Amino acid sequence: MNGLGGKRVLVLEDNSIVAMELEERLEAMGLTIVGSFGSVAELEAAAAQPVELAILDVSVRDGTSLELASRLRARDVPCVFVTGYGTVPNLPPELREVPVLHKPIALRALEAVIARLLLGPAAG
Amino acid sequence: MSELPESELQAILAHLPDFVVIVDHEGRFCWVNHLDPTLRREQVLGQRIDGFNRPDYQAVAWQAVQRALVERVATEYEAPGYRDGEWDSWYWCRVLPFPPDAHGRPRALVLTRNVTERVRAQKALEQSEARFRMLVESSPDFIAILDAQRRILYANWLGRELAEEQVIGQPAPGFVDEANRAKSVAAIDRVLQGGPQESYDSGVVFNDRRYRTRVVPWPSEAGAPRVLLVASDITEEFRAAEQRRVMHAELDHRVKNSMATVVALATQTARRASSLEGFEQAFSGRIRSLAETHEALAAAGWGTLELKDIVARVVGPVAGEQLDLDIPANHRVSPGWASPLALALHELVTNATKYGALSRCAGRVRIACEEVDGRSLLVWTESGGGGAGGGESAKEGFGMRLVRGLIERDIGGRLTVAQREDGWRYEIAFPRGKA
Repeated sequence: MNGLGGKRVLVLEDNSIVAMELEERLEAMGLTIVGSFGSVAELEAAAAQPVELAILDVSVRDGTSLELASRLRARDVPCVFVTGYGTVPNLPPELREVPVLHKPIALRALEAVIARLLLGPAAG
Repeated sequence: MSELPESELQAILAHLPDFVVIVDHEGRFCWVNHLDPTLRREQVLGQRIDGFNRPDYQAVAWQAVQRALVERVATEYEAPGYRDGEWDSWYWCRVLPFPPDAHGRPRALVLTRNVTERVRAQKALEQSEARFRMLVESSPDFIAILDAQRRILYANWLGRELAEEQVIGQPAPGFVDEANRAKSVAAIDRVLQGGPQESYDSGVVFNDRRYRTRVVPWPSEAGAPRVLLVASDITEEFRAAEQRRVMHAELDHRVKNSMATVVALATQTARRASSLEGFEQAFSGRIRSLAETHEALAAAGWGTLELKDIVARVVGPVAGEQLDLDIPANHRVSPGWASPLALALHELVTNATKYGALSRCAGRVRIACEEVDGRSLLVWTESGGGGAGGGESAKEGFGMRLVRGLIERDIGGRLTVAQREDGWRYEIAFPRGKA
C-alpha cells in the first residue's frame, strides 16, 4: 500500500455528512478509524487507546478540541485541525505547529498533510 | 502734613471725590468732607457710623472703628451703601487711627470710595463663570484639563465609581484600559509638545463602557503646556460595530459549513446512485430540504423555529392526506439544529415513499411530539403498509445512516428505530431549543 496501512486514526467532527465523507477518504487511504465522534466528551473516552493520528474539528457542539489536542500532542500523537472559521483563535504555543485545514476540505490537501505527518517531510 | 493747620487740611479734603469722615471717641461722625446731596449735615453729624450700614454689615463697621480707636490699627472692608432707599451701591472703606482731639480723646479717620461698578462687574463675571461651570459640569462628556505630567487638574464630573481624591492629581492614562494606555500617552504627549488636536478610542478601568477621547491644546499657565480631554461615550456605536464583526464571522462560518455539507452530500449521494437520474433526484431533494430550512431560519432572524412548522414544511407536501400531525406549539428547535433535523425528516419521508407506509394508498404516517425529561420526543409512526419488504433497506441503507448521523452526531439526540407488524416506528429525542 502507501505506508499508511493500518495506522489508527481518531476523528472529531460534528457534521455527520462531512464526517461520513472524511471517514471514507481516510479508509481509502488505508487508515483504520478507531473512533469517530461529534463531541469532545465522547472522543475523550476513546482517546486513551493507542492512536497514530487525530483529525479534529476545532469547534464542535460541546466546546473546542484545543485542550484535547494539547494532551494528544503531549503524547506525540500528530493532530490535524479542521475548521469552518477563518482562523483558529487562542491557539496555545504547543499547538502552533498543528496543520489547519479549512472547510470544505480539499482531498489533496488532506492526503498531503497526513502523508507528511505519518511518513515524514519527504512524503509531503 | 503735620505742619498744615487742621482747617487747611479739611479744606483740601473737601475737594476729594471720596467721602472722608472723622469719628470721635464714641464712634460718632464729628466731621465729613462733603455730603451726599440727599443728606443734610444734621442728619449725619453726631450719628454713630454703624447707623449708616445695612444691618448685616453693622458689626463689621463697628469693629473696624473700635480697632482704630482702641487698638490704633487700620482695617479695610467693603459694604453695601444706601442710595435712594436701596442698598444697591457698594463702598470700600478704610478705617484708621487719627490724632486725638483737643481733650486727648482718640479719633478715627474713615476713607470711603464708591466701588459699585467694580463689584457689579465682578459679580457678573462670577455669575457667568458659574453658568459656564454649570454647562461644563452637566455635559454628558467627561471633560478634564491635564498638566504637563498628564495629571488631572480639573474634571467636570466623576463617575459613580470614582471619588474626587481618586481622580484629581492622578495621571489620566492610569484610567485608560491597559490595551490602549500606551496609545493614549503618546497622543497626549504629542499635543503637549505643541502638536495638533488628536483623538483615540479606548475602554476604561472602572467600568465596561467605551470612550472616544479628543485631546486638544489648552492655554498654558506660566509657560507649562496643558491639554483639554473631552471623552464621549461611544459604547453603543462600538457594540454595534462589534456585533457586525461577529455577524460577518458567523455568516462566513455558516457558508463554509454549508459548502462542506453540500460537497460531502454530493460525493456521498453520487457514490450510491445507480444512474445520473437517480443522483439528480436524490441530491436535489436533499439540497431543497436544506435550502427551505435556511429560508425559514432567515425569516425567523436566525432564532429558534417551531418543530411543527419544520415537520409540516418537509413532510407535508410529500405525505399529503396520508399525514396525521400532532405536534403542540412551543416545541422549539435551536437554529443550529434546524437543518440537520429537516434533512433527517426528508430522509424519513423519502424512505416511507419508497419502502414504507407512503408506498401504499392505504398507508398513514402519524407524527406526534411530547416533552420527556425536558427534551422533545418526536414519534413517527407508520401504519397500513411497509412492515415487510424493503425493511432491510430502511434499516441499513444510506438514508438511515444519514438520519442516525444527523440526529445523534449533529444534534446530540437519540434515534430509536423499530420495525412493527404494521410499519416502521422512529423515535427522535433531542434537547429543546429556548424560545
